[in-house]
Amino acid sequence: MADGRVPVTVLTGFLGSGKTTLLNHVLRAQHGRRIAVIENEFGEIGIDDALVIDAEEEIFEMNNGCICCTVRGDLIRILGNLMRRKDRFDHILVETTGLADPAPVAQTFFVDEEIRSQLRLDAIVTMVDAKHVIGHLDEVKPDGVENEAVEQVAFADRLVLNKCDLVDPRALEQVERRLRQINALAPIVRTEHARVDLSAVLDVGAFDLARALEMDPEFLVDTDHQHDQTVSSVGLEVPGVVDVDRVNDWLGWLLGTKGTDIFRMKGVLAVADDDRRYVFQGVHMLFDGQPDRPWRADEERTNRMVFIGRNLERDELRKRFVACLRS
Amino acid sequence: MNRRVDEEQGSSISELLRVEDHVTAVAFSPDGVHVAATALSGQAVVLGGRRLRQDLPVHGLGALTLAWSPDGATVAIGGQDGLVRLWPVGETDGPPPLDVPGWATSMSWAPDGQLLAVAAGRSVLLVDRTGAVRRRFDGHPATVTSVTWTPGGKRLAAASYGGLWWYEPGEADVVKRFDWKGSVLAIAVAPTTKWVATGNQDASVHCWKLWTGEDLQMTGYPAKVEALAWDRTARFLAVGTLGEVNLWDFSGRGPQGTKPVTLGGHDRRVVAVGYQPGGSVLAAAGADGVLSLWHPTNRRRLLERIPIGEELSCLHWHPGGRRLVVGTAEGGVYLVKLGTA
Repeated sequence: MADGRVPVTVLTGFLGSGKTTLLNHVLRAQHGRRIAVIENEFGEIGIDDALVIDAEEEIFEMNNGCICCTVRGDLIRILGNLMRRKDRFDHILVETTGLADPAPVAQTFFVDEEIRSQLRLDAIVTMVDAKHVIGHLDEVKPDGVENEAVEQVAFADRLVLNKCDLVDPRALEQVERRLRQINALAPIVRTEHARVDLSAVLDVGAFDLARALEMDPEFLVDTDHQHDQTVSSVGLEVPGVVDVDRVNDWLGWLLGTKGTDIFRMKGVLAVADDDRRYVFQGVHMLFDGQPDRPWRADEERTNRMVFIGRNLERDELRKRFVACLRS
Repeated sequence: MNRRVDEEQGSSISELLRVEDHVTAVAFSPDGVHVAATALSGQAVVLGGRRLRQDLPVHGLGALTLAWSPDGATVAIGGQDGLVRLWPVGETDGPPPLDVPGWATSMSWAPDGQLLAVAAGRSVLLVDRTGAVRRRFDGHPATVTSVTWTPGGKRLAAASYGGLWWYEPGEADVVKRFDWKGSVLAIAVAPTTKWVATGNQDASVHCWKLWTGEDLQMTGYPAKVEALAWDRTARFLAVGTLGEVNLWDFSGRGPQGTKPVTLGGHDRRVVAVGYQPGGSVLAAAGADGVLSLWHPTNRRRLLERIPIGEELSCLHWHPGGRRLVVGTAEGGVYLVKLGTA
């Protein structure tokens, strides 16, 4: 069934990473598509026929401040009014400030009924300045304060590595390795002057469950770092089939105790007595899952998932998941 | 469609006006002589009698809100372009527009007609009839979504993220606050000034007793709550939600611990509710294109179900209580004359 909802791309990245250049590039390169841009920073958007709306970030906590119910009130209003207009847009781009936490932006598309029924979050695209990103990622913040650069990398569905012309190839490799360590899921697109292929950033379908698990097996390779205070990716592959009740308990445990720490997760499960794959994804405690296509005859029944977040203990995650297997 | 009569019910519907986009607000003037409508196309139109049609200057990105002065002589229009116009009805020209700090999202005239409260961005402005800003209240943590005066005009309520802020024209600062951790979208002050009710982003309704601040909350709505209305005796609070209207009974010990009466019959969201002036008929406008009329004191009695045929967006009663005007998401403005039922 075709999803008629209008796709929304969220563009994050530090000040100076080239978000406005990318926006201008996208607006210039799009052919016949009507795009609306909601910007949080006064960029110099130089396209006349695009609708550009300025927004001032308003973070709302709902339901006693549960982290999954932290949303962007300004976006609810602006998107709500935009969707009431007759001249419909083919795509909406939301540019966040350099210091924005991407979670409330993403959660806005799941928590508000009116928004959810008309718009779908397509992807979070994070612009990374190849020359300066390591410095931003390494910046030590006071206790309890998140490093926004790390969060923006961790939440991304696409990492656009910009200004590659300013960095030598070895340094570029280093930057990529570092980005991978934090976020093993998002493909990295190298660019200069923010000139990317539109398909790399538009209509990515990152929150589309049917496409969410086009995971590259190499993402599941363990990274070598042990220090679990930092944000990292943990990939698990556990062959076999899981018991549906036990896996529900596991999910309850995961969302209840790790929901704050898990920024993003995606996975595919093999559930006992079901010939279909079960696919899921999540943003903090917001969880979305459903049965997918049937397993092919030649396919090994296996469970694969990736978690991106903080304080993630691979052994604990694995041990608890293995306990869900039906022997 | 120009005019038709619903034979079973006896109500008549006629198209008053067509604008180019979603109608954001419609209202009869308090003297009942004129109708004003605003739309996301930026259009703001005043109609009166058979002849008058006045197209006011277009607001970029949409005209969002309108408010008639109590004497019906001036209509205020606010837009997403951050402009507010005070337009003398029937004049070919109005004073220069007032620049406000952000989208003008909600406006309310004080009952004596001397001051217009404007919610714009994170501020509330009090504007006099000449368009001069008399007071400006900042300090709201987020966009002010709604402003409304108490029936006597002594105080003004402003809703934002964090609850309600109360102001008085003679005071430079907030005079009272009702704190609540959440985003408030709509305010309804009971005509008796005994209660204030709010509709909220987190799918709840919150009520405070005036002025003790004693409060109660109705939670568990399927979506955010934006449609609220008190009946004239302030016994019932009507809340529009998905597919239905809930009626909370404030008589006796109040609605605490009770279940609301449910008025169903809509397929989609009820976007606006309003009680008949001087009467007790409740009108509910649905996104399903149906205007339903109820006699709630007579438990769930549906009086009429009037299909308009276009997704409804707003409604307003004529002060005489025998006519309604409704706006639609497709740019239609319709006059509904009640039958004798």
